[in-house]
Amino acid sequence: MSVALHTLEPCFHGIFPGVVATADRDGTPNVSYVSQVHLVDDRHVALSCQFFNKTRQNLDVNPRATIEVYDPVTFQAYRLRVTFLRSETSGPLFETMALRIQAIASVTGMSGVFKLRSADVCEVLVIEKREGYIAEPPVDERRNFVDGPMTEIRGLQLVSDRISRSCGLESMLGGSLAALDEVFGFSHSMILVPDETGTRLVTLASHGYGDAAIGAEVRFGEGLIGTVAQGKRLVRIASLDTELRYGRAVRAEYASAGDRLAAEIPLPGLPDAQSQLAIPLLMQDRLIGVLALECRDTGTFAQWHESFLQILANQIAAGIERMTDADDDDDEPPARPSASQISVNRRISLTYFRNDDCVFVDGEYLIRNVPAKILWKLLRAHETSGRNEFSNRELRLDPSLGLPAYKDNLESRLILLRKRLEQKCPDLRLVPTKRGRFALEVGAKVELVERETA
Amino acid sequence: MPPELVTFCETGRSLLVGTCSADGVPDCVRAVGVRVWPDASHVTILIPQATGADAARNVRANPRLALTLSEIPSHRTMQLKGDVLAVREGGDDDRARATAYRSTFARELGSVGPPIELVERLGIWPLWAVDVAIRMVFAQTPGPTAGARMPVQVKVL
Repeated sequence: MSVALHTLEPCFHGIFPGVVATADRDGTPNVSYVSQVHLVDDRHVALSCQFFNKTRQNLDVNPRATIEVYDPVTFQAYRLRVTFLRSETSGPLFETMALRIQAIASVTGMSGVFKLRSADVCEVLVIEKREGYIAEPPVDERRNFVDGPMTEIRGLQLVSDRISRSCGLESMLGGSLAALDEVFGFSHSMILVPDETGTRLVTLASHGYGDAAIGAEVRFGEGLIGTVAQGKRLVRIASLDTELRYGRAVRAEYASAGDRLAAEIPLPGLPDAQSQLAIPLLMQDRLIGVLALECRDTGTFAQWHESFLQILANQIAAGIERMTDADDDDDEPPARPSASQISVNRRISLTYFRNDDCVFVDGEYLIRNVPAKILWKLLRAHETSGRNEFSNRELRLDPSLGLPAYKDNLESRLILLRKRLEQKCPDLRLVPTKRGRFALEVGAKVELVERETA
Repeated sequence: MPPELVTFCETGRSLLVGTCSADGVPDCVRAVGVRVWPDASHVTILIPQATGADAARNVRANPRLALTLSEIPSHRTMQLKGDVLAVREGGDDDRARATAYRSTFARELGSVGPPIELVERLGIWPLWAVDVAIRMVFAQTPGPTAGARMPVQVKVL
């Protein structure tokens, strides 16, 4: 039975690892699992090569190989007769395959140790369904795909509408994530943006995790999200459990060989996620943020999801950029001080640590870096002059805050600060009053303390 | 093979068979059972005829065969290489062994995801019983030592 390669796309998600048989010059066969069989195009696949193993040695002397891949839903086997063409050690294909391994390596403490050495590209000569391999499932258990193109188009339209109608960054990000759930059922998603250090991402909007996710940080290069930020390429993992078990098996082998490895890194997000997809938000080559989605089921994200989510990611990136660039100031003088609703019975103590620009409230971490500096500036102004209305412009003009002159992401910092206050210090609220202006509402007596170090 | 490897072989591992045609085209097929002989130097591999036609044809022309056994949850893997001595029609005892293997394999694979009922649909009958003299054993757990020959004394016919 002849089969078109693209129709087997789900078989390449890695939920069931593929198998490759090779042979040396003397006709001695070798058969092995392969961690990634990557669908390149309708005539080519690529095998991941992480170790200088027998498969690779055989391909160098005898390019003929047979690959078996499995449908992730039915477990039906398909046999690909292939010829090895070349090994790629750089370029888009290599980077795409390497990032998936890098993401798992970073989580399992093997960054730089467990990595892709080459993407071994093979031409597919014959594809056969293995008749008789497995009995056909009953009709009602067969795959029930979502309704493809119409869902995509409706989703694009809905999210586009949300983006274009949004009057602020916060509503645009929250509306986009909510729309992804409404249309596609992607119930857990988040958008992270780089902080001013350029070494971390901070969660600015989330859907499905509750408020606790806001402010969560990921270092560049760590886990799926950090790897995507560093590599600026989309990564999809269809079966996290499978990939982590593979990574941990490799880790155990290195450990038993005496190698000292870094500790495993806990994954942010759902503790039992199986499918993950992270897409870089880019403007030209500049990283604006990362859109990350996850699901408790395996194989949730298919190739067609990648395509249309990439379009949405571009729109979200453009939306962030547009709202960051917006002229958010007006020429009105600051409003006169007004009395805040202060509870005389409640007191809160905020401490600012100068050495790492960090603010604690009643002994608990609240926020750091630029948002912390902004908060401190507002609280000091409130304490000394009773002011409670502020403008974005005055923040931008204050050199002590350390905002860059170009693309300062001030709006993102204010959203983060506002959300963190809602979660951790509800007696302080930042309330937008008009374009480019906001009020600081203080609901308790506030004590401000500055210290050099913790 | 030492007793621990014999136990490893006979307890529901994922079984992958590699063969190679006379003109150098390799093939792979999933096996549905393996029996280690009492001398621990031979095995009988059970291969469904529905998917094993090429493997059976290959070993008649080129007796070299590879069998990879992998413990799915841990990825602990080894590969046996040897020469095929005979390819026989499977009998009732082979069918019973394959049926038992499929149940054990379904539970092992099912422990990491796919429903047991799905794997229980694997075709097993009719099957070939392939007798193999083991020549070499290799470690194949993914990692820096994958492919290393295991320090196992194997009696060669």
